[in-house]
Amino acid sequence: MNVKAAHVVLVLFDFAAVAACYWSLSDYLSVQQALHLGSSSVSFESSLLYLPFAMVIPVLHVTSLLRFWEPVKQSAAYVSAASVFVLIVVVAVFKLQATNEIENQLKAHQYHACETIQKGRYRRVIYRKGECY
Amino acid sequence: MSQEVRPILESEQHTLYLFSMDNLVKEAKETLGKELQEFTLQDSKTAGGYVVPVADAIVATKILRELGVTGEAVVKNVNGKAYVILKGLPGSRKVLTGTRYLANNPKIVKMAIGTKAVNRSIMKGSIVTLLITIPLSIADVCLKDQTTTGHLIGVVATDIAKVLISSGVASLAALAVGAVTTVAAGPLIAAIFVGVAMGVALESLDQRYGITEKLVAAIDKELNSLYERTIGDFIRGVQRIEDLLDYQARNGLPVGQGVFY
Repeated sequence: MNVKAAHVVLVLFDFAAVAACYWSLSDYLSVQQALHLGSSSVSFESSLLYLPFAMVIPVLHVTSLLRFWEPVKQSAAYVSAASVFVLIVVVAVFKLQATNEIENQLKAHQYHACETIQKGRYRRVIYRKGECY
Repeated sequence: MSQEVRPILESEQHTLYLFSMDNLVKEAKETLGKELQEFTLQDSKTAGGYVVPVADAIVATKILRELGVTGEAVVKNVNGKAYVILKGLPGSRKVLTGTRYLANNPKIVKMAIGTKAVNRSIMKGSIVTLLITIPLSIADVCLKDQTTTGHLIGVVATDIAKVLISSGVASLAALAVGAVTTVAAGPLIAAIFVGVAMGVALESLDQRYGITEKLVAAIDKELNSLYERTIGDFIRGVQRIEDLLDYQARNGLPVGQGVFY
């Protein structure tokens, strides 16, 4: 793939990654809101918190441009690798932390896991207040 | 015992742990948190979904260990042949001790360095995923009390489509990243994480919009309609002839007239 085409493709991936991040966060916030409002049923897709991993593409894309910037030209590869590493750790920690936090809140608000769909990495649990039906 | 013999004997020494089946099952329950009988095909599918990303992550770790975090690799075409040129000190590496390799060199392919090798790794991963998920999907459908052929075809078709889409997008990401960055592990890391995100997104969309269910319903409808148009029509035709022959026999008419002659 030539460099120009690669940049075009990467820009599309950048937008898709931002959209994926937005999707993930909005789902997380909607679960928080449903909990806050005391909804009778809450659907929590913990696997959506893997979506911010797609941000590795914008990070690699942006840091790849650093080798054209004189002050950091020599350390561009280091900056790129370190940024990706930090992103992966942050997303992994956030995923674990957010999942635990929501599950604890659901337990505290006396929600019961009524329906679990698990396929590969995908996991969705539907929680209901009181008895499952 | 002489000092020369002792190390030889010690190096040949092995420790064997013997567990009774009951103890083993008890240990498994404590470690896994549930009885072995409680594991379902869905658990196997879940585990299967992690096989390829974990295998790729191990390869990425190998690259990082071999070339370092800042390890750089550039793909260059010379006289129509693609070469992977490794930057840094070859002396500090254990496996890739040269400075340049053909893109299809087994060492490079095994380490998944360069877009060609990454694509091979993705293709291999897709085949492994399909080999794990499809038999499990078939077994899952077959073990259900009530199922249809449409369900089996629909589930397998969407599983294949999801794996192919994820792999295709991951491959495109690796190709694009490989063209703009020199970080050796960059294309593989991009492929791993884009593949994971894509797999989750596709499954979520499927669950949200009931794509598999709609496909299953459409296939069932089509199969039923096909049955009606072929075997159903044939059965109805035979029934009509049988009724006519019966009517003719009961009413003293020549049997088979209008049908056979």
